[in-house]
Amino acid sequence: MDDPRSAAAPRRQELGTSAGRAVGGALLFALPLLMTMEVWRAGLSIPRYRLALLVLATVVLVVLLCRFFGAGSEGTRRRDWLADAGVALAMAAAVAAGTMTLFGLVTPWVDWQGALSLVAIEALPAAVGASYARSQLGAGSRRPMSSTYRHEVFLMAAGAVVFAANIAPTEEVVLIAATAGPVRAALLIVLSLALMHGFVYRVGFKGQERLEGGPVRAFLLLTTVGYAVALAVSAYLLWTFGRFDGVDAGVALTQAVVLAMPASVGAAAARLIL
Amino acid sequence: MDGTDDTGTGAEPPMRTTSGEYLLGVVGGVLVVAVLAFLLYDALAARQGGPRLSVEVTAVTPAPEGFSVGYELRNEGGETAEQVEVSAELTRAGSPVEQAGATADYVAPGSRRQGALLFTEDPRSGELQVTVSGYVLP
Repeated sequence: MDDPRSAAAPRRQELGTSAGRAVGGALLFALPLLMTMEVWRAGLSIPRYRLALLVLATVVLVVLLCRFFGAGSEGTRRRDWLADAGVALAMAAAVAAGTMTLFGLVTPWVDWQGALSLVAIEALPAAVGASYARSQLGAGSRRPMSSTYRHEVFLMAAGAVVFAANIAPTEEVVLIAATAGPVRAALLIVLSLALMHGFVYRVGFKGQERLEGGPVRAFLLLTTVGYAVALAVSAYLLWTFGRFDGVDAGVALTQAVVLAMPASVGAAAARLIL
Repeated sequence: MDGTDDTGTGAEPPMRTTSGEYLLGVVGGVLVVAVLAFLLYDALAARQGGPRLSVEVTAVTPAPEGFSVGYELRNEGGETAEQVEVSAELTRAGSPVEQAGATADYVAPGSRRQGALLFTEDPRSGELQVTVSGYVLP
């Protein structure tokens, strides 16, 4: 007599499923950074205020991701998306602490300060991955995509963060920037812009977008703005990892341009995927 | 009760956030506050000034060829020291007998690194001096 679909009782997701998805996403996104030596050193070495800012930036990013794209259940009230963000952060911290303990990089019961520092620096990719997995990879996950301009720009920032965070701590960015003159830096900028535009509008990936209001408008409104966002994200991450310490503005800018290339690919990909 | 899960028809009642998820969410929030509080404490109370390095001999044991002098390097300052040189000199009756050295990749504030210095002569007879001779700032 009862059609289960019309039952008033809301469906509930098991906590285990929900947390498990978060763990999966955290591992997927954070393992490259969990296994990068420069990050371990940076976690212990970089000035505390930069690490604190990074944690705050992580929280803001994850909260906004959960708010705009959901991360588990279908609730849309403020406490729902705040809870989603909290779950992502908690599981991200657990994954980071567990993995690094298993790798023998920290022993939390001996050096809890070192462990907390490492968790703080690894939380960014892990928490973004956790919230991504809960919103996108789950069966019955939620939230029809709204694609207002604000959301698109935010999405590009999130994609840029994920890609840039994996590369920013490495020595390679510094090396590439050191040998690249102004000509190569300029070429990199052109290439990044072309890649971004091509990814989203040209090469026919699943999720390709139609050019609204003509190619020039799309280029100016989304591609160049997206590139600016990617460049800003790159600069922020490089500064956080101390790559701007003791270098002049020109070198710093070249580093940011180098990192902005993968960041802009990430920004473009995020618009296709999410 | 979740028998009709995953059909994705959209006709089902919405999936709600469970109390478990709220609880875990609160745990996440508490964790963030705890990490920020720790960083604040670390910045204002624990990490002051540049690197302050000290080295201490922990054990002298026989090695396959000679002797191994275990040491522990500590950084009680506020900044990481890189390429930390530990050097040791063994003197007997005022005249130098043997020298040894080691380099630690980096020593973060509040952390300890261990290593060993190798001698062919027995460092237990004579006077052994182990010092930090230099480092590079990041």
